[in-house]
Amino acid sequence: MPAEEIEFYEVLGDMLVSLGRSYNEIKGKGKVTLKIDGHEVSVDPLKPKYDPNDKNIFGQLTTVYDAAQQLYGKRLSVGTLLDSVDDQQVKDLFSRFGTVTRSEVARDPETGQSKGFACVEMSTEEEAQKAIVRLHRREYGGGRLAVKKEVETPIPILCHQEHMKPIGVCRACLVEVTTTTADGRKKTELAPACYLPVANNIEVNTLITSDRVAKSVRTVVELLLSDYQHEQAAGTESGANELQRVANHERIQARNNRFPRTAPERGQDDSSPIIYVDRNACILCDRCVRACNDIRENHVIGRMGKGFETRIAFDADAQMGESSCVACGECMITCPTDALTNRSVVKVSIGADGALQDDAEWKGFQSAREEKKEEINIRNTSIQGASTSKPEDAVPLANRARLDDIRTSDVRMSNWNLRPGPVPGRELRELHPDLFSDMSERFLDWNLGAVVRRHFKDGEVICREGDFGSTAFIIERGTLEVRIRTPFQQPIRQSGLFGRFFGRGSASGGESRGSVSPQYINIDAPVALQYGNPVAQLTPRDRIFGEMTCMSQYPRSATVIAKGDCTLLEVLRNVVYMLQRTRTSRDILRNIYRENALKTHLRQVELFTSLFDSEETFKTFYDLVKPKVDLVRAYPKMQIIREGQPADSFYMIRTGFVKISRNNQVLNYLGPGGYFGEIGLLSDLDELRGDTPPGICTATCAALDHVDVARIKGEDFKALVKGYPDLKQKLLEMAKKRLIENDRLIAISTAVNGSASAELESFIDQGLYNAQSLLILDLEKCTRCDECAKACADVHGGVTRLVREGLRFDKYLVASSCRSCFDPVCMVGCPVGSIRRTGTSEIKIEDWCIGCGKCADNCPYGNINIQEQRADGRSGREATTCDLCRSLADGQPSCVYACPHDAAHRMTGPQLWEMVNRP
Amino acid sequence: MIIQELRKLQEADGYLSQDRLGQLSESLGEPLHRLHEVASFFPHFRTAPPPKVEVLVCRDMACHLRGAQECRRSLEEAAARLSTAEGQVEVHGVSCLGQCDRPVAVAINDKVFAGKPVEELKEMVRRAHSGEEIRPPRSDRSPLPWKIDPYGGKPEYGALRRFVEEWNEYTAENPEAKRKRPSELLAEMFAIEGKLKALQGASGAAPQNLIALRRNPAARVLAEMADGNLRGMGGAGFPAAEKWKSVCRAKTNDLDPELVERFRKRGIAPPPAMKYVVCNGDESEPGTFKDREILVRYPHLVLEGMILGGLITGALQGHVYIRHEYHDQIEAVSAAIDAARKQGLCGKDILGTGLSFELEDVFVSPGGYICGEQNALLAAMEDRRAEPRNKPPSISVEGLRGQPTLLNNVETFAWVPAIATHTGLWYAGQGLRGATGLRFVSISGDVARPGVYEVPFGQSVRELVFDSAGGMRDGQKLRAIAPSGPSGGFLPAEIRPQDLSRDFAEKLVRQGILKSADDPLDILDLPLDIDLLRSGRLMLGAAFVVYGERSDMLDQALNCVEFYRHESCGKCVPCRVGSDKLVHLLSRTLQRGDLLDTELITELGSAMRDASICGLGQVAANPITSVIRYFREDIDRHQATERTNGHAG
Repeated sequence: MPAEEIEFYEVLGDMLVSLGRSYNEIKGKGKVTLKIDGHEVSVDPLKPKYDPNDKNIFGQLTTVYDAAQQLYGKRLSVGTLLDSVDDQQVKDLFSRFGTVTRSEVARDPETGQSKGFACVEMSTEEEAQKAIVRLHRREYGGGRLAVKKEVETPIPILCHQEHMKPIGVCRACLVEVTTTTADGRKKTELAPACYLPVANNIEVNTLITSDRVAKSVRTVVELLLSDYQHEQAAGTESGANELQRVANHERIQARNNRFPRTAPERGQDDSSPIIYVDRNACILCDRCVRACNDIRENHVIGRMGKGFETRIAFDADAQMGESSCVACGECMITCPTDALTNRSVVKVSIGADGALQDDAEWKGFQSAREEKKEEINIRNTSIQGASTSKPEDAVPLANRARLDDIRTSDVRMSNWNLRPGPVPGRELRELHPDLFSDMSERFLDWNLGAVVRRHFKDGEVICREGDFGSTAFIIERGTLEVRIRTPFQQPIRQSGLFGRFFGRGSASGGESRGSVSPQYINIDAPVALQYGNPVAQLTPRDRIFGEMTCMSQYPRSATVIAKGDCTLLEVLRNVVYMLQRTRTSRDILRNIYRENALKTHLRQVELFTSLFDSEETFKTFYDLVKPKVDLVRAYPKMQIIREGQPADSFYMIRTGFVKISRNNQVLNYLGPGGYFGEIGLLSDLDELRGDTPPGICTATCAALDHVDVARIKGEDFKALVKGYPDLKQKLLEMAKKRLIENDRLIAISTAVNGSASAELESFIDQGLYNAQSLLILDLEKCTRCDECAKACADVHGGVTRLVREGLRFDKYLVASSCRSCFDPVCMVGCPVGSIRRTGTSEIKIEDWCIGCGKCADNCPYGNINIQEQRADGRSGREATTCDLCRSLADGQPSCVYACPHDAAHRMTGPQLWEMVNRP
Repeated sequence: MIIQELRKLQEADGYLSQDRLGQLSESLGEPLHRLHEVASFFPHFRTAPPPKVEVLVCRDMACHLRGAQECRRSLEEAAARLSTAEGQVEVHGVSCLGQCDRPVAVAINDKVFAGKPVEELKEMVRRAHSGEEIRPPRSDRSPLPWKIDPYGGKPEYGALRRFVEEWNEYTAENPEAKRKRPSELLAEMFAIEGKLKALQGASGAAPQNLIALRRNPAARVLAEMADGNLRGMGGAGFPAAEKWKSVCRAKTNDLDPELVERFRKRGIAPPPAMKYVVCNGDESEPGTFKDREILVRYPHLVLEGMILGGLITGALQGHVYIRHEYHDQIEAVSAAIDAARKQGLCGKDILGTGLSFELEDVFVSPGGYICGEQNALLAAMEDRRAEPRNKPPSISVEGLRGQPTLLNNVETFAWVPAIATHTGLWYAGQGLRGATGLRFVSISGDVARPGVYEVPFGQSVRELVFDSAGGMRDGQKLRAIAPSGPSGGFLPAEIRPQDLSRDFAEKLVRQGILKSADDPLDILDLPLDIDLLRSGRLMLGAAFVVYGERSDMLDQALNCVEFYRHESCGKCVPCRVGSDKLVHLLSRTLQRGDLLDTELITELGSAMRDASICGLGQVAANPITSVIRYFREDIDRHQATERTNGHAG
């Protein structure tokens, strides 16, 4: 078993102990092997989580559905090949992305002439995904390639979405499972693939290979169609109807007429201004219920009644508009039928030139959309294939689907007028199926304006290093240049207890090399730059950049400039979140992210860069280390290493914060650029002998928030320090320093009550380390005159956004006012992306806020308020928070400026810590 | 907690008003929809004010066969006459009340009256309407000469006392065992046995410590159960000893974080991680009423079985779940629990051993047949909608509150004291014709003496119907038998050879039941033998409903599928929608004489069997598919009516 396969579980170990519950038997190492439709599949029993919002605990277990996706995801169809292309050429083309296990150009059996497409199977799904990303729509031998997954999915799904807890109620995903009992008897039954965890030696037959499955699923789908299919309610925006899509599946082909309709009229509910409820279309898949309760935690939707009379209800069966619903829209975008649909569109405006500013523009856009609708409809049906396919057609179904793909993808880009401005969902699905085909169209339409097409001219700056941002960019056309300015000679240094990575880099800071203040660490240059020529290029095959800035909230790590004319889609962060919900687009993001993040991280950590003074020597070192580094994500409270356990790896923090503790005493915390795990690994060296037990972790390192760590395994790390004595020396020095410091802290805290450790713990508990702009009131000076709050109210239309109350730290009161957190959890999950950062560090709430209150719930410090009246006079609620308003006089926020006693100050968390602990 | 609170609220107000739900939501810290989805799910809860008199007439199987519809109609007429603005009388149908031996069962303001003539019922309704308190006669609690009771009707707890004696002796000999519980030693024993089996097969001398471990009384009781081949009496017939063994081996799970959070919100310490014993006394399947008699006559046997279950599996807490219509049973069990607590038979220190097993107060079901499904039952106990869940995990590994749970039927627990007293071989030897053990059967319908009978496995249907139940009522000829309530469908008096699988027919020949595999099978010759019947794809439950010659089997099938439609929880599509389609298709034929699309129904039936989450949906089509197979003439007769009508019209 390759070592890599083991590793992930070890890090996830804690998750399993607390969450695995009865699945003890699955908690193990290694792979599970099962058969699906006669093919052997080997999968990890657990799947990695990527989306930090993912609350799907059960979803950690790999299900039969996942395994089938992995199996069928390896198979690709490649279209529009010239006749001269042969098997070997196809193989060569694809072997750049991994091992090609099969490549075959389809030929006419009589003439032997190429049919213009080929079937390719890669050895893993990841490789296949990579090949799609890199090759799809690329020029090859004079034509454009169309690379797609061969089989859509042999397991249709209605009641499940990947980010949800599976409940297996719709029964559309049934598969036939044969298990062999201990005494050799075989047992065959049908089970839902979305729910059933993989197990060794089971045999699974999907509806491709099992008539029994196909028959049952067809009956179930017909039952649904008979009652729930209906004329679409007028006046609503409709998205794709998943029930219809499943019914059209070529092995199901459910007809609607065998069962009589027996459902009574269930009525509509149009009381909500955002969402239209048509109970007749509700199939009780429970997706909205889980969306409302598990995903958004709004706790409004439940089911009422029993049996055939069951239906969804808001609170105790109130009208939606009168219930406690906050209209976050999550239920609507998850609905697989037309039961919950958009009534209105959030006019998202992500700024700058492509945005929709006035009604005239909106109207223009709407009519352009209408024009296109017809065209889209035609294309859409041909893409779905099954709805136009006739059973009597002589071409086998599988082949026909491929031909359809080729026809449409060939003309894909050229036929579209790449009009600037907001791009509707259908167009996105058509143009970028790899990213958008699984995304809720209803979501995209509701958030119209969250994806905006922009044209850039040669030399225009698209994003700037050091800026905060909340958008990512998908490259449609043209070439871009990437520049970073973090100089090799001036690496980021850690100093004091906390690394100096706080504060935002100045957006317009010096462009010249060497003059940058090293206040932040660059974390996600979109490509790995060769040092010495800090410029790289991006083209459409790189798909997307800037995604980690809007995911991780760290400043942009590079400046991107248009090189020649280019077309980009600017995508708001809520759309980027959605990209992470579905498998295909998530894999694309993940691959891009992993590759780049690791490469750039190594180049930028002071630990390594400070050891070398020339690019050549560093490069040798870098090339040696690079393949040995792995990226692992940890979740809040997860223990990455544990005190007393054998030391296994060395960790470098890329994003997030880690708390270091020993024996429940908090010793320290580390942020981006920090590292840990070295003491346990180095402790068997002579230099540390006697200071610490060899090979054992001396402290527990637990994630405080969402943490990405770059990991080097123990043996690799040891080999590395052997070859680089300077590195070893440096690490040893640090290790000794840390051991002494830790012992000192432990000694103090055992001797003195209210020790440094307790103080540090309270500092961490209050989340102060994470703050970039605390409003601090010095209680020795403060007279409680409330001038600060009054000033705030004066600036913000009479409503104060700060409360002169809050937690105390030392002699300071931390007032309830936005702290501009380094990792702002308030932004997580905003359904319309209206809470964000643009350019600078403060949190801004845009006017398209829908007042759902998610950000206010998320903020652990109660610093976001929901106003029942909107400032702009429109009806509805909105969220407000401190905008760090600058007073006219001295550029300080009004609250600070207004304080007559010099008691109010704004500072970062670490500054507060230093002030309190100043000797 | 939610369910108990809702019950209290309803007892105080008569129903659950929106306002009260809102208040409760705040005081419990639960979202309003959580309370509402529970309140609207269970039939016992009402969200609107009740009428002055509510009359519920049982509509299922035996009652339906014996005139429930006419009874309901005449009560409706009486109600219409009685109702005034101040005092409405409402008459509704209700699912089986567990009084099938005394049809027609009627509940008046939640008091169950069984076997009363319509006139007497009308008088009751009138008295209730005038405000008089009405009371049904108390159930007969006297013990019967049943072999399940080793103590002659007295709650002596002999098996438990013997267990304790043996445990004391055992720990005196093995002082190190004193620090452990019997279940822990048992688990050690299983571990060693497992290793031995893996190493050398079953042969070879057992190591010394294993010999010692086998003397643990827990091992003895479990071995007796295995020797006796005691099965789960809830219907599935799974070997009880195997289930107990797997719960014994299961380790407790970490507390469910959601559960901890819920307790934390209310400022109560969450229950520690421990295993549970749950006794399923929800008995709601039409035709089944045997547990009713066991619970009221021998509650102590059930409790003794549960305590032994706790000691053997290592569970620390036991719950008895009883349907809310069984007032007398709830009372009897509650009294028996009190008595057991007083005598130190349960609790922290059982009879001075230091071993502990708490018997909790009876959990009164908020209603619904689906609660008899074990996962649904646990969901109800956890304050959720009683909806079954997908497998895995099994309840033995993850049951109540996410912990390993020993869940057995009332009768299963009740047999344990007898088996522990008389040995497993004694129990096994009670069976006839190669089958083992005794069991209880409830028989109802067109027989002379419907009731509950203790019968040996292997007894023939003839002996059951003609000897125990006194033969057919009014000298009717036997038309059909439902050998497992509605779930197994109907079997005709004579099964044609082409309807029997060859293997099964040959097996019957070997057993001397059939002369030749080409002969038809007289249903009366069939022995009550689960394994044998299962091999012929026939179900055998505790409910025997017997139909006489005058029965219209299509009508009976509609009655059964209506039951399933009423009782479907609505969670999964095939059952929720499929059961409604079945009712619709059948009633069209019965009422309008439409052609019955038997092919479509058969396909729907197999899809429901394959695709439904739980047993309810899986068997819901069985009544009609069995009629399609065995009673085609009844379908044709209704369809023929259409043709005649057509001509006439």
